[in-house]
Amino acid sequence: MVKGPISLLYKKFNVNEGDRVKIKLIDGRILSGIIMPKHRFSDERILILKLDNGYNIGIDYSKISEITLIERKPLIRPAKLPKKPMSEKLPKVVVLGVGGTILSRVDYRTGAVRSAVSAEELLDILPEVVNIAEIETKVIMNKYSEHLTANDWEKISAEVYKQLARDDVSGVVVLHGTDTLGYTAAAVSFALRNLSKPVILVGSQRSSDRPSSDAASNLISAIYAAGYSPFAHVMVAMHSESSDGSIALHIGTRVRKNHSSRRDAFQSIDIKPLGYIIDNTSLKIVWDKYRVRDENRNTLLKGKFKPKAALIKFYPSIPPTIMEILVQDNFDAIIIEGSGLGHVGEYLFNVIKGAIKSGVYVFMTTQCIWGRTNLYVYDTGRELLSMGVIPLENMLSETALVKAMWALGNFSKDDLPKIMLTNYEYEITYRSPYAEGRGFQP
Amino acid sequence: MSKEEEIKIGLEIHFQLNTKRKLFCHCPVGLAEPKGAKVIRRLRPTQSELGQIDPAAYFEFQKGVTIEYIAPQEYTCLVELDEEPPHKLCEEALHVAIAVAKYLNCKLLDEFEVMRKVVIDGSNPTGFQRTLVIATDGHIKVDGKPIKIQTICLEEEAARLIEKRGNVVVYALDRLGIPLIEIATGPDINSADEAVKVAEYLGRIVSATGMRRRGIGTIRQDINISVRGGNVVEIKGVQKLQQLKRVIEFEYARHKSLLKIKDELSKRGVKKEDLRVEYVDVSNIFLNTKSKLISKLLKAGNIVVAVRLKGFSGLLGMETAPGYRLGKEISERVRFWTGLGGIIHSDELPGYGISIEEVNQVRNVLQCNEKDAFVLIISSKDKVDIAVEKVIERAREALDGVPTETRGAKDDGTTFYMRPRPGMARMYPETDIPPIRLTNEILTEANKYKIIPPDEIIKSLIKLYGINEELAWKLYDSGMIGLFKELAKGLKRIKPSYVASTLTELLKYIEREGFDISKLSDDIIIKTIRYVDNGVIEKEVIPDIWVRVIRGEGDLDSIVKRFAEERVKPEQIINYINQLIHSENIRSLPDEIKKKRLIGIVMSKYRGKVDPKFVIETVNKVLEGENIG
Repeated sequence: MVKGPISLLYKKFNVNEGDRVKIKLIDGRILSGIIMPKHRFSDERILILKLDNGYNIGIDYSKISEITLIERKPLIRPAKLPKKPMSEKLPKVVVLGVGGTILSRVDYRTGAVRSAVSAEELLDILPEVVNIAEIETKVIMNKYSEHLTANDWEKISAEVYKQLARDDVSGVVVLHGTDTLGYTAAAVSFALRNLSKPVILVGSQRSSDRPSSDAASNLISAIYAAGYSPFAHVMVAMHSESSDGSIALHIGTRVRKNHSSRRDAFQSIDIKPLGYIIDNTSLKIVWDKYRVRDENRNTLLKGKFKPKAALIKFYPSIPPTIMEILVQDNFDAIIIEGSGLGHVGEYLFNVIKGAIKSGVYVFMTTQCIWGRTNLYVYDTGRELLSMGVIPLENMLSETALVKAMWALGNFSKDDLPKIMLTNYEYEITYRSPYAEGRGFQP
Repeated sequence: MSKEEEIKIGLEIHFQLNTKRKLFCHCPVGLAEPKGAKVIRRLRPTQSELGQIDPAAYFEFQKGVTIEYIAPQEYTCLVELDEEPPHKLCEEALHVAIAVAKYLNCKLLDEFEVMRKVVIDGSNPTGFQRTLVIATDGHIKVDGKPIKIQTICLEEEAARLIEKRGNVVVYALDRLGIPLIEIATGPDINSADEAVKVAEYLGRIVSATGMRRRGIGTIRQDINISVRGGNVVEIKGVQKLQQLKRVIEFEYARHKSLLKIKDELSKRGVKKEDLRVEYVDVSNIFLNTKSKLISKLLKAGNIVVAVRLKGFSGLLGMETAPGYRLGKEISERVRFWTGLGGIIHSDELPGYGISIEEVNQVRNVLQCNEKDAFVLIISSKDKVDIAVEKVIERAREALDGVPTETRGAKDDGTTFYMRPRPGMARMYPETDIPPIRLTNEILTEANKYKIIPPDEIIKSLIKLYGINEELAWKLYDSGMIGLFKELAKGLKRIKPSYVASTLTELLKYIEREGFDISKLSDDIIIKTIRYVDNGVIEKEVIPDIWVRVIRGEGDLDSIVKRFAEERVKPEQIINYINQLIHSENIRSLPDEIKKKRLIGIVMSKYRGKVDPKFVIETVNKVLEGENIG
């Protein structure tokens, strides 16, 4: 909503955003154009007018002497790409909308971003999909991923489960914001036991209003992978490099957003991607062994998440009170992201001892991102072990958090240590293969 | 009606600014060898473009086009690669633009809104160019004539096209994001000469801020041109003033001819509905053709279709501008949308090995009478529909005279179809950058750029340094005044006018010879001139020295040392003169001629290795001595 002097001006001359108007300035100049919605950081004294040459200009309200309406909000229909009818002979892929940049569309008049989630709109953007799969779409929710909670993971997992149970569905694609995409991927990985078909989570780093957006190729590749790949895994499909053309399929429990803005922000940690979709239309398989797609396998849903596990990053001078509060709040588990091999400063020893004593499970991961914890190497580690801290091998700290919530939601609390150390979905890998190159990327 | 009354020209001139950083990131401004990381991208059509242009054709056009970006490390970061959101606007550029706008009597906006202008050719990895209006409604007088200034914008420069090979377009990203100040004039210019004067005038004002970048390609002008009765056509990418003149002449001729064609079509009673998007597959007629072009393409699996253009006979082949025809406009249009080359029209037939019999058969099939023309399209099946549509589209536009479109300028001053002219939906807000409120602080900073009227600067140069006006303007236009003033301080042996012509004419000459004068830093130029002024070397060797520096044959000091060592010692000159003076053919000459001849002989032997003044003095002395003796 417009506030301040500008809203009074609109009222005075009975005009609104979107209207085509003629504006007479105090110095006698006359401008014509369309009144535009205001950017959040636009000064409240400024009226924004879109000139006929397309430019937006900002005019201080005090310089305006008169506004005359020419036309109420003209309707500008976006043009559409030619479409071919969908073929029922192709594999059926269900595309579920959760939110994020991936399918946002810009209103080119205002610059406002909104979600496009109907199958028709999807095909407007990606007409070539009709040659790949028969698409069905459904919106579960429409949230930026930073707003998602464990409760949303339950909804997403349940919907994916429901769609996978359909005989006519070959795979499911989930459109998701990238910020917490890794967490949701881990959550769905744990929630769907005995998975029968591919589940692909996909996002984009550049919004789809740009001709250069990565949304289209990420999504087409995701649909391709859902329809045709032999992987019965939960995966994340995102650019494998800055260039277009190669989309990596990361295993859902070992994937991390490692860059704030690059297209290839997502990386598989201490493991290779299962494969790559090349040029939207072919699959290059990397893994030797994987769970093969099998429509007859009976997928089970273990889809509860109890957010009584917390993740704490150790840092020099961290106050012990952070943990004390968690204990007071009856948290069941604390995952520590320790330094190096899995360490914390000795000034935390007491609070950790106290937490464990009062029945909170304390797990150790590493904040190094790559590599494995080992609490035998140094005194600090041995001390932590003897207190009862449980190291989680090379499990990503985010995945450890999600897994703890999942275990607490679906199993008895006493089983937590056992479940955390059981490898379900490659969240623990026991070999650390040597990899050349930067980023410790295999 | 005179040509001047008929023609209306507006200029959109872009000047690169030499700011400390690029417009929307912190990379320095500069160009490098096109080497570095390579990133491959494909652009997809988006809604906003489709609002403006034929979606079917556009999609076809973009399918399969791959763009390769080269990112020279020194001048590019993730922002150019569209891998990081833009940084805040470079304030220095804003200050310069405001200073220029105020000088040109423009009205500043109260808040600047950054826009995205969609570009479809890959020259921006984002798919759009960021641009913002700074001011509007200015006015200037050039040679007494009032010219309106419509807008002053700041824009990011596009990437540098390196090459096109097949479906791959290669760009270097170093140039992308250099701040451009764009000045758009009203359509108040009526001749090529006037356009050149206005362009020169505006260039000099931007130069006066001291922030204009020098060198080839640092200025580009787009021209909006219309001829009474026709529409406005936008011509892109004119780099030289000479080319500007030729483009305007070419377009004037083209517009006039197209208007004539319009009248002729109207006389012939041709209507839009007579031009139908219909075609006949005439491949059969050409099964045994002698035309190598057609038979080759047919063998490759193409078909030949024919489209009738009712009432167009003779008009497709009529020359509209030197070497240019309506027929060519049609084939350019088809080629842009489909990439097809095999477009032939009936005004050029029989030809291309196509016989009169084949022509007549096509005419029969299409039921053409003698007033009708036809177009043959040789194409794969999937492109035929779009190609035919484009042929009819352009033919229909001929009924209205001059189509509104964007054209490109070639070096020789001819123009070609580039794309449809984009409209307002091509622009939408850049939401990643907050609007910028015009504040007193910004105005104070902008006021620090004092723009002194160029002619005042010229007057003072003439007065202070005794150089002539032409040379003074040359200094001004080459952006060398600062350097000149620096060099002119405390000159001993050489004159300011010599320095001025070295900075302008000599450098230009070296550049024309194909040497990259950007390798001659101000420092090198200053040092060289000082060496000459101190008598270490003679001025005749400057070009030689600079060429060697450019070629990388060593640093300036060592090259100068080599030349200095070649210098001749005074005793050698005295000995040589003494020797000459006693020779048979000198001795017999009268004194006046003797002197001239002696100087001539010595100079031709030792040019560049000795100061001519010394030679003259020595000759005088020796001759005097002889006379005394």
